[in-house]
Amino acid sequence: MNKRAHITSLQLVLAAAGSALMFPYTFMPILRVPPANQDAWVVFLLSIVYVFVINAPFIYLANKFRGLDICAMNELILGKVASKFTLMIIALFAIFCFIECMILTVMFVKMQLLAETPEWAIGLLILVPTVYAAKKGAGTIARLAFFIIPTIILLLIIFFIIGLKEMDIAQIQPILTDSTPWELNKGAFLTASRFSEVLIVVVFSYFLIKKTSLYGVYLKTIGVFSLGYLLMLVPVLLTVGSEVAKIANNPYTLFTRLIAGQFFRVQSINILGWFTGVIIKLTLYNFIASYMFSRVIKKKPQKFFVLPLAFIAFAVSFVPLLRKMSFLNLIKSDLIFPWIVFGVIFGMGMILLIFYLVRKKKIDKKIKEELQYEDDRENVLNEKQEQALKDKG
Amino acid sequence: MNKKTKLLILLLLLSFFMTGCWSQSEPKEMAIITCTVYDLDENNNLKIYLDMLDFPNIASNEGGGGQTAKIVTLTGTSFPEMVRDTKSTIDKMMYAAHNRARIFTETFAKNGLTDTLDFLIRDYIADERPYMFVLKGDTDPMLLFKSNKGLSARLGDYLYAMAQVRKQDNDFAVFKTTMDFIKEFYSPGRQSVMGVIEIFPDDTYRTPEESGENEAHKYYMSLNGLAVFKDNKLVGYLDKFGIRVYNLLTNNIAKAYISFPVEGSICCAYSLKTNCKIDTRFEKGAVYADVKLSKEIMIVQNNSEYDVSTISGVKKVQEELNNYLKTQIEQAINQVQTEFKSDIFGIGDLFHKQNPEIWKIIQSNWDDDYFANAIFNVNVDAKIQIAGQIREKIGEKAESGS
Repeated sequence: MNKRAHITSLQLVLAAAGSALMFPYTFMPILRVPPANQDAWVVFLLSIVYVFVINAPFIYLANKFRGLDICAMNELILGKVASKFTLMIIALFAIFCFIECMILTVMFVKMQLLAETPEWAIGLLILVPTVYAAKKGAGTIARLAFFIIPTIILLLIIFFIIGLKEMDIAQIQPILTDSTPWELNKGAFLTASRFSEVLIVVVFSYFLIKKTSLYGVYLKTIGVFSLGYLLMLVPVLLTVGSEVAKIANNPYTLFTRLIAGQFFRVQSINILGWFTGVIIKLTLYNFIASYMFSRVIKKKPQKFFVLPLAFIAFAVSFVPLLRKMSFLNLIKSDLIFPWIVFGVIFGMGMILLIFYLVRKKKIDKKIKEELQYEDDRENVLNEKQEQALKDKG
Repeated sequence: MNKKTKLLILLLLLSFFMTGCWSQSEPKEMAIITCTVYDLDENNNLKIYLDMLDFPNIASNEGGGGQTAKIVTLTGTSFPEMVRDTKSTIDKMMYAAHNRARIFTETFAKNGLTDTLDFLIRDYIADERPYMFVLKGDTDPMLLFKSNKGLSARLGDYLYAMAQVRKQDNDFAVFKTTMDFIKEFYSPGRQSVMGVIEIFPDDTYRTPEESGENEAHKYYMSLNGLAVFKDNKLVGYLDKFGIRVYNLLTNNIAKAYISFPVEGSICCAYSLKTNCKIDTRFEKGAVYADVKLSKEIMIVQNNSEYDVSTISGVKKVQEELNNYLKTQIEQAINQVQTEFKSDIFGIGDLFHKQNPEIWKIIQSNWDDDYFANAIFNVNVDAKIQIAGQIREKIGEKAESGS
């Protein structure tokens, strides 16, 4: 029986928002979704509405089951057997995100920085800190995010300011005349469907200090995410232009390279920020997957699954098919990734919500009992800890 | 040794083997490219000239003099292959991240740049920041390296320095980076342009023995030209007055000196502020563009009969300048419309912004049809704000009480 780590709302906000920023930071998929033109920033603003809608079932339930973890929530709603199935889906989804992010990171580093360094070396470089942090648990991950994500946002602000001179408002004109409402909504939906970080908020809400409002944390996460996203998207649109940016594999890196001016190679600072952010994202998904496995199997602690999962991802990333850029482009395209996220986040969220509403009275009663049990458990652990300290003293 | 210490040692050891670029190289082992010239040989094979930094020579020639650049010529089927093939002739690793300029010969540019651009933005050793130029005429590219490079030791550095110095206050030159060119190429309502290099024999040439200098050059480069592209192929050139019009219409220049005739004599004005506004509309199947150019100027030389410190004198000189600029603009627009049919001014982009619905219908025939036949109404409004440090023309006496 382990004492759960406690994290603050700000730590969770930064971890979730930072993780969500990493894919746009890497390949900015919004530039290719309809209408795929200068109105991409409008698409992003509209996508925030869709994010709220898609995440609503999960966030509502997480708030209802505040104090219990996602596994207990699933068990109480669906029963012990069915919940194992849903938890496995979440675990597999986290593994999918972990592996995809890992392969993308290796490819990005190879493409932009270390062209002749073998993939295994880059992979190990990524996995060592990831495994270390994931093994340490939620508290360590949250504290890491607390230091790393603000640094990344600061870098985005610095690059934005440096790039101001190169920005041209004409690049986003005409506004809304080349896009139809259908295209804007489709683009917004596909963009919102990539936001899988509500899972981080839900899983890590269990570790949040009790007084914190989950809705508040979620809203702040969306706020920080939006700020960071716009700090990347707007300069790319105004400097590179949507037409050129969307053919680039890494539009934000292209932007940082262009604004460097006389400071040649200043973009390496941007890549340094990006790399640490990716480590946070990988750690979070490794943690979620290992946590889910530990709760489904119930015989081993979360730590036990961290290393095997990392090695599975490492091994999978060497499957020849997965290492092809063309295959990666397909996986990260609108044909696959958003629909997987949508299925897990909205589809499963809705199923859980419907079952909850059908059995609301019974489940609410159980929640109270479980919370009481959790409190008792916590008290026992606290007492044990105090006793241990006294004994040591 | 406890577990944590072992882990720490392991991590430290791993960092030695794993981190860093496996293709890392010491600067002294690198051939740093500062300028690339792209050409086609007589059999239409690709040919490049690379101007490279020669580190050992720089070190040995500290204090001045000597060769600090090496020029390599390569021929092949693709640029990446050729660049990497330098290993067969150059005993160093090629490094192109500090490339300052790319020069295309006229023959090469006329053949189209699409394939080259693909390499320039796809290959990880290439970059989007170097300036791009066309070498006018059938000049031997080797003359570029033999021409006078001012205070710079290498061609790439010279062109880069020229761009930094001249692009803000000279309206007879255009400096476009690779990314500028690519952005224009991708814009449906604008065609690309590039700066031009023209090589002339230097009449003042003297041998090193005669001049007492370490290096002497028989040629000099002129950057006063603009290469007009259409669908990525070179279609012609504008002279220096054409560049001025290009810079004015694209709001590319704020400050520059303009010499203009005033009844047989010459005046010179310095632009303090320039703004060009173009309104487009579609009427009876034709595109209309109303060009309104406003300028605030300072007179820096007045050889005319008019006193630019008086209202009537200012009015007359302003009128002459307005007419002069209007004629220049109309001539350049006419040349671009009839000779090139290439919308280098970005009128299509403006039309797109101002008439988005009509643009969707006409954009596919924009350059050849609508731009080529567009009707331009040019209106120049230059205002003399400052008449210089003196009032009357030099030699004239000031009247008392005036």
